[in-house]
This record gives sequence, C-alpha cells and structure tokens, in this order.
Amino acid sequence: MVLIIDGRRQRIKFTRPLLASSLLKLLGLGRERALVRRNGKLITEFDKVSPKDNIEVFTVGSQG
Amino acid sequence: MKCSECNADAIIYLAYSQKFLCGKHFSRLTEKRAGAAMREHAMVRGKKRIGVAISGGKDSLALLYIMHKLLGKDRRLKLIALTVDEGIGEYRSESIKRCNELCSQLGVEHHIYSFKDYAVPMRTLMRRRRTDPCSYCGVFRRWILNKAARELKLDALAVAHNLDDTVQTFLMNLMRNEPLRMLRFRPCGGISDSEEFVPRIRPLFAIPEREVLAYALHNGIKFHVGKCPYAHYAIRNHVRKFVADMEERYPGTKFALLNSYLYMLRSLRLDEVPDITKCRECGEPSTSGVCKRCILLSDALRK
Ligand SMILES: [Zn+2]
Ligand SMILES: [Zn+2]
Repeated sequence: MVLIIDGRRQRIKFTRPLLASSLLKLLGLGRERALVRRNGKLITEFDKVSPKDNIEVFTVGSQG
Repeated sequence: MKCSECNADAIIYLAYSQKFLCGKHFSRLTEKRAGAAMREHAMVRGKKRIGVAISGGKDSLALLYIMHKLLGKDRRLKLIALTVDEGIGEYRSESIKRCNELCSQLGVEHHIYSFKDYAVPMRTLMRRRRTDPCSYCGVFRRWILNKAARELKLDALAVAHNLDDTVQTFLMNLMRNEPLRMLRFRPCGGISDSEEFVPRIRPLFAIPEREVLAYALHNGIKFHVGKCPYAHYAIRNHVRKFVADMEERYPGTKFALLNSYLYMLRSLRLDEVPDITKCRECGEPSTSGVCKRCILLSDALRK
C-alpha cells in the first residue's frame, strides 16, 4: 500500500491490520519520533491501522 | 483508545504521564502550558506590542495560533507577526504562503524581511561554502529580527522554541563548555538585558515538539512540511536523535533535562556576560567591537 510520510508518498508492504506502533517500527521510527493520522484523524500508537485506511505519518524534527 | 479524561477517542498518548488524551483535552493542556509559561516567566506582563516570529513551520504557526487564542481578546495588547525570508528558494516561498494564510485568518499584522535586503541570500552564500549554513542563517536571522523588532517598537518578540529545542541547545552548550550561552535561550530575555536587544519570549519552551506537531495537526493549522535543504549539516541532528532515544527508553528525560537547565540558569549571572557595545560596522548591539553578522558578511563577500 501507499502511505504519506511528511507529505511524500511511500510504498510499504503490509496486508493485515496492525498497531500504529508496529507500523512505525516497520518504517524505522520510534514512537516518540512520529505521529500517525488515520483517515484524517490523529491516533495513538496503541490504535490499529489497516491497509484500507488512508495513512499519513508525520515525523518529529523534520518540519523545519 | 479512549481519553483518560472523557470518553472521546484519544489522539495522543503521553508516555511520561501515562495519559491518553482526546483532541479537546490535549489542546486544553497545551494551551494551559503555554499560558502558565507566559505567566510564570512574566513574558507579557505590562507589555503592549508583542512580536511573534513565524517561519511557516508547525512550531511558529502553532505559537501564533496559541498566543492569538490566549491573548487575542486583550485590547491592551497587539500581536504582530514577523517573517524572515532567507532566500532558500522553494523551501521559503512555500512556507511564507502558510504564514500569510494564518495571519489573514487570524487578522494579525504581518511583516516580511528578506535576507537579500540586509545581506546575501543563502543560495549565493552556499555557492561559496565558507561558513556552516545554520550558524550563518541563525546569526543573520537574529540580527534582522532584532533590528526589525526595535523598528516596530516591540516590547518583546516571541520565538517558537519548544522543549526539544531547549534541551538540545542546553546539551550542546554543555558539550561545548559555553555555560554563559545558556542565558541566550532562557524562557524570557536573552544573553543581555540591554535595551538594544528586544527581549525574546518562549511560550512553548516546556512543550515537547511532538506535542506542538500534534497540536498543529489537530487544530487544522496549515504549516509547511519539509526540511531545510541545509539542515543535514547541523550537529544538532545527532543531539536530537540521542535525546529522542533517551526519551523513548526513559519517558520524562526531556522534562528532567529542562528542570536541570532551569536550575542551572538561576546560578548564571548576567554580569559575567561581556558589556554590550555598538557594532562599528552596523551600529547594532554586540559583545565585541564588530558584531557576528558583520564578520560573517565580510567573510562571505570576500573574493
Ligand atoms: Zn477528553
Ligand atoms: Zn554589525
């Protein structure tokens, strides 16, 4: 699936729902270093994301 | 997950306080913290004209948004936004657009100052590669902002330093053995109390960067997303990574560092800072005969 990281599209392999924290781990990001927005709403790292969701990741410390 | 304060969906988990918060309670907490910082450090007390330095990034636009929310109704007080255009091509033109949007949405007066009117644009300088871009950029930005703030007769200038900036700078000053520079980023004031320096205020100094980002996203603040193209030069990136790793392992590390900083700040004495004189070249305040901006400028322009 394709998700958006800091405004840029990135392809990532995941087929089943998983915790946002696991998604961040897949992306090599610690939970303190990013926020996840699912279908336009911020979620915590303990919430789940599914490949059907519209997922945006914002990393901390890279917005200038 | 549900909010620890109500039954709404949580938008963030704060590991250091083990709390889940919904948008409403999280925004309230963030605004409360900024308000407390302003009160406890007398940032706006008795002041009439307050500048807010905005770059178009999440921190400064969230700062303007919060200050407008907390102070906008106070008729004795006027908020004025200032932006420095460093001339870093697209990176800046995009972000200036975001500044304009928020200022007109909030009805805040906005002034833009361009590097090219005061110095050389970053692009030109980087072709010469004589100085570390971040130090050059920082020196010029501070010089322009101070001059502009004085010309606008501002009583204080708010800058968007968040908790991460504060602890990173604190650690960097420790590592470089430059304790007096710690005065420079104190919550209210700067390296000197000289009238030539418009005092800087930092209402976000105790708010983690991740939370400033969450605040901006949740409140629909449109900010510019993107790295400064020169940012990879900075040592700060190593320190940022180190602090983030520590916070992840030991939640609360950033607040502990902040409290150490505030404790040490109390024992630093302003009278140990060299006297402020006027720069021989530009007339702006300086701790040596010629200010840093003028030294860098003449170096950049040397053939
Ligand atoms: Zn709530
Ligand atoms: Zn000078």
